[in-house]
Amino acid sequence: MRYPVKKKLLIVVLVCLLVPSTLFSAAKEYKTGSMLFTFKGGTTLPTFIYFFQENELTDYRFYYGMGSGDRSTKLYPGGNFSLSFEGFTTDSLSLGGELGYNFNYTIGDTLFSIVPLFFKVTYYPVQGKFDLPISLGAGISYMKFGEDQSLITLYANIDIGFVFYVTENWGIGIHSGFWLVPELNYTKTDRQYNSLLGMAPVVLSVSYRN
Amino acid sequence: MKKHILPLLLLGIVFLFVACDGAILSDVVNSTESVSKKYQNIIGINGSKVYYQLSTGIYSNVSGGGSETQIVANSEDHLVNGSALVTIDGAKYIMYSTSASSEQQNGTLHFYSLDDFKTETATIEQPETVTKRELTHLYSNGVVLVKDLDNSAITYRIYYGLSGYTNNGTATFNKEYEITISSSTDTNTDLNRLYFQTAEQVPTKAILSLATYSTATSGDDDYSWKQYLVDFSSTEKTISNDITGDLSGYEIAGVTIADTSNIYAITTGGKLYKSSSGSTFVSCEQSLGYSYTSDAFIYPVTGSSKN
Repeated sequence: MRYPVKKKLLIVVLVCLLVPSTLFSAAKEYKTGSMLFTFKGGTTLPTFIYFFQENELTDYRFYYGMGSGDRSTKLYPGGNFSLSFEGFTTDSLSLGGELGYNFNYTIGDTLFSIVPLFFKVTYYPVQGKFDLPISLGAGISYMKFGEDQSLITLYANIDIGFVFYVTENWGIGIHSGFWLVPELNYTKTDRQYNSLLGMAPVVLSVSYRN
Repeated sequence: MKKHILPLLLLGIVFLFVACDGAILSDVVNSTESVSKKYQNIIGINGSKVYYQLSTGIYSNVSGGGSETQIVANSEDHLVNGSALVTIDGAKYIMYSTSASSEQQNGTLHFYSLDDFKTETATIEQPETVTKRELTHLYSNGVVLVKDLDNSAITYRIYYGLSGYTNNGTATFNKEYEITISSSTDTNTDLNRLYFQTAEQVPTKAILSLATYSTATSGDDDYSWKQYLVDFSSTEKTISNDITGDLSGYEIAGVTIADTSNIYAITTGGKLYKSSSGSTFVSCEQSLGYSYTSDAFIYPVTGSSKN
């Protein structure tokens, strides 16, 4: 009773997820051993950078939003490309890996890039003519800023897609989700700058399945 | 499993060495917008307006901030390459030169009047023997440095003290100094810089520095420098004060004149030289222990007991 709006929103979301699943999940498209290759391309929207503790270099611990502004991330929307492979272990669950390249420019026109390489597990509640893949990924990422700063660190993401199969094997889709890229510094003096970057990708995809 | 441990360890070590810079995201959030303006010269102030040269041309703005007005726009092969605020018979002008090859050859100067905001042109008269002229620099104190080539030699001419001009005619300078430095086939010697005392608006002395590129016997490429004293009070046209001493082995970073005769120079390698005679840097006063860029500031400071 206290949160009627949130309750209604939750019902709408559940209906949106369950109706397609009841409509299109009559027959399982995938079986153990099925494979899926996906190429994605689109944009990433920097959402926040959070510093785990106060440090000598930053005025605030939490920066959010894009572009200029005292508390913004100072990053512009960027570009993202990736290639992934999935192998099904059951008729609705796959294990796979993905390699990507992501770039954003700062307000000072300096290139900030991330190369994530991660394993992912994907659940397909809806499959057939339409797929609804929900993925969780974890791995490493190579982070580079400007010409001479780079770091290999961790990476995690969640990805939700909607893929329409134009033919039996080829499908096009749209995906979104969220990335978490922690900066975990190696040296003790730099650990005060440990932080977490959040990004929201919006990408189109082309998939091939067999 | 054991056979995978070694490659994984090696991979981990490689990762540590190739990418272990810290504080990346803090540098990201501290990014600042790139500066789009590149100032090349603050020309001067006239009334409430300040005039300045950017990489895109000459501009004015109201002192204290206001809307910027473009006076001269750079265009392809027609870039403003020097500007100065000059006064002729009480009227102020912005004198400037451009990179246009025909204007370089003719020694063309432009005069933008700060009274009626019209631009007129005049050329610097040149000897008939000159086959190629290049307006090397136009300094903010109104000094024009010209590199002339005739059939046999390269001559640098320094024009100083603009006293007037005729539109579409010639510009008249009170002083003209020249020095012939090398044969026209000498491609190893070129102008290094004309050094003025920092912030001296009415120059009294300057040092013309030429650089000679040479390949030492050891195989190392190197430069040597030759300096000449330019005395703006001199009535002699020919520059004859070849500065000697071991300063010629070093590049000058900055020059200052402590009084009417003593000239001090610091080198890019951090050596301080003094010329008491005004013509010869006889010795290194001391090594400062620092290195300087070739456009370093140097000021004379007078204290209660020391200068």
